[in-house]
Amino acid sequence: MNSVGGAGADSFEGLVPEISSGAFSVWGDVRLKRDAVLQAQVKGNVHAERKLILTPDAEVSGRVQGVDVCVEGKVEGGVEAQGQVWVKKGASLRKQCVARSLRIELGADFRGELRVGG
Amino acid sequence: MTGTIAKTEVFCPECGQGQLESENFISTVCRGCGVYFKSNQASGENRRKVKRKAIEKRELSCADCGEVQEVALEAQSSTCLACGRHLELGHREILGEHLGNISLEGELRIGPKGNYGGSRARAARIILEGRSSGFLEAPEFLKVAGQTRIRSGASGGRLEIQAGASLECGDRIDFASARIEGELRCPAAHFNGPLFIGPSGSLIAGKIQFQELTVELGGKIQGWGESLPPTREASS
Repeated sequence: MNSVGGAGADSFEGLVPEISSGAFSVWGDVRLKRDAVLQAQVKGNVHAERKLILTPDAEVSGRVQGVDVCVEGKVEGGVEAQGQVWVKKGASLRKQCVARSLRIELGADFRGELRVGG
Repeated sequence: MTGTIAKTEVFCPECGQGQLESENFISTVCRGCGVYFKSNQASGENRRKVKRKAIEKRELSCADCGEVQEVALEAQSSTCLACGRHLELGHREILGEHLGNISLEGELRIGPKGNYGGSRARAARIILEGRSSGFLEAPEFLKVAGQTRIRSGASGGRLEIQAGASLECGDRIDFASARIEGELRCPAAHFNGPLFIGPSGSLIAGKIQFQELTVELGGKIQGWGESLPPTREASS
């Protein structure tokens, strides 16, 4: 399991890439201990202990967990967040979305179980 | 809409008695001698034919064929010049039991104790506070403001469920957009536009389709969801 530190910014806008490279692939689960931007292919699950942005180049085959998660890339195994989930235009999210609040933008591609609030 | 009717003094052609009449009067009876006379026979100022006021009109499109026609602003009904459909233009309120289909171009209000028992009701705007057995169609909006139930489905432009209100639908609902501040339960919900769930809102459905979705903190949504591709107008 890989462990990567983050930028520590308070909002999505302040984050900088931590795992970044168009050709960078991770085989296995990834754990991110601080705020982070993921710009890579992950063949496994991603667990972020704080905020996480998946850039348009990011692809995750498994499940993404975090506090606040912003999806701009592709997630196959669903997202589970303790806070908010933001699915941006052009992003793709499958299987499941669990969160306390949610925004799916016009032009985003979502298909799966919705469980927000309650 | 109605203002004060302008009056003019006219004089009887027989006895010369003066009396006040509407500026647009066509004929009258003399209050002095009882003779019937027309406006052009009256002496005095009113000998000239008074031009009638221009009638204010509005555009109306037929619910069936979409043909646009002009009707008087105060008209309560009309007939489509293209397809012959009878168009009821006024508003209606259901406070008790109502059977039979309804088709209005105005507003339909189903009160808290109202029960619409027909198979289909169509009105430009529907305010639902009671119950409905039949399908409700509201091209402009359906506003839910009470503990309500529709045994079949509903469709239209905008769906608004106010805070504290609830709607339970027995069949699929299909709207252009929705703002849910209360509760909605239905087997399937299709929104060909934005779906907004406020802090006190809740949507529980088997299948939920939308173009864009916002669930604010405190709001709730449960079901199998699917985003719809943007339409040409929405994407531009």
